[in-house]
Amino acid sequence: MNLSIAGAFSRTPGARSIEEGPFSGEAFRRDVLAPAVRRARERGEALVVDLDGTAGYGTSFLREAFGGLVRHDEIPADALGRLLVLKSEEEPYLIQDIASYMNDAGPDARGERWR
Amino acid sequence: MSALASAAKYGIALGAGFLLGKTVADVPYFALEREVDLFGGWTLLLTAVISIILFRPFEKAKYSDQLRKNAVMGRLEECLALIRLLEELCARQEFALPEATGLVKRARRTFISFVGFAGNLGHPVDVRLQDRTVVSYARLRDLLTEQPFPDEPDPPLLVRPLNGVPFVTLSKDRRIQVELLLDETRETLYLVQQNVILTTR
Repeated sequence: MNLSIAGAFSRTPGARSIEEGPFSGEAFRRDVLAPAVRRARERGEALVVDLDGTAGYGTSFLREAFGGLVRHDEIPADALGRLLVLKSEEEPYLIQDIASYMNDAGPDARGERWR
Repeated sequence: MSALASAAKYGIALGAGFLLGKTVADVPYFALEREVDLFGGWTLLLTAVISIILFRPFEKAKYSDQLRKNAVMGRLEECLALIRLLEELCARQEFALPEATGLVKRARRTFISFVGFAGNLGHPVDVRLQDRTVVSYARLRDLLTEQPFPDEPDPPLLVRPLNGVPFVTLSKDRRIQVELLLDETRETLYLVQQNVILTTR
């Protein structure tokens, strides 16, 4: 399964939370990313997330969007590591950044909602 | 008209040369040798030809090296221009978050592209300077866009929506941190520039 942030959400990602403005990390996670992760899991496929094509990402957008999968949606970081494939030719360094945000969010998430 | 002017200039130079030669020949002190020394003439001609053949590659190499350096400096100037734009952004009371993320992305990508370009033209950037600059850009993104937790007192960065766009306001301390980091990054780029100037292939 493929997901392009620029195509499916916005070319100008915003701040962290919904109340801070449009195209927030929270809105992306809630409306686009988390549902896509669940669909990929149901199909037994990897979800390839393309980070290219946007004007750039704020740190808090990425933390909320990806770290939030662990913190809010309680998806264990190791499960995400198996399910999510991050892709970027424009900013390959983002892949490592996002991995660290997911690990920082709580590698020990119980994942009760995930099971 | 310019062809006529060039022809006139050459004509005058030739005429002046002829007159000078005749004047020198007429001075009693000088005796003009009317026999031609073939061996001497060939030696002179051969020396001139060999000099041209030997030195042409050196001249060409020096010219090519200068062209390469100018090209590398031009790309480095793009990196420095983005630092200036980031300084202008930081100097404002508030700025649009997408503008900040866009500038940081461009600055980082321009530098990475510059490193590849400089390396291909024989002016590789010192790895320590590369790492230092890349880390600076990563830190810059955090300083300009990483929001504190909502209940944090005296937040260094605030975001609020304005006309449908998230706008960032930096605290005075945060602004100073950003300015210092931009100064450091610029100094690192100047070191890179210095290395390019001092390196010859």
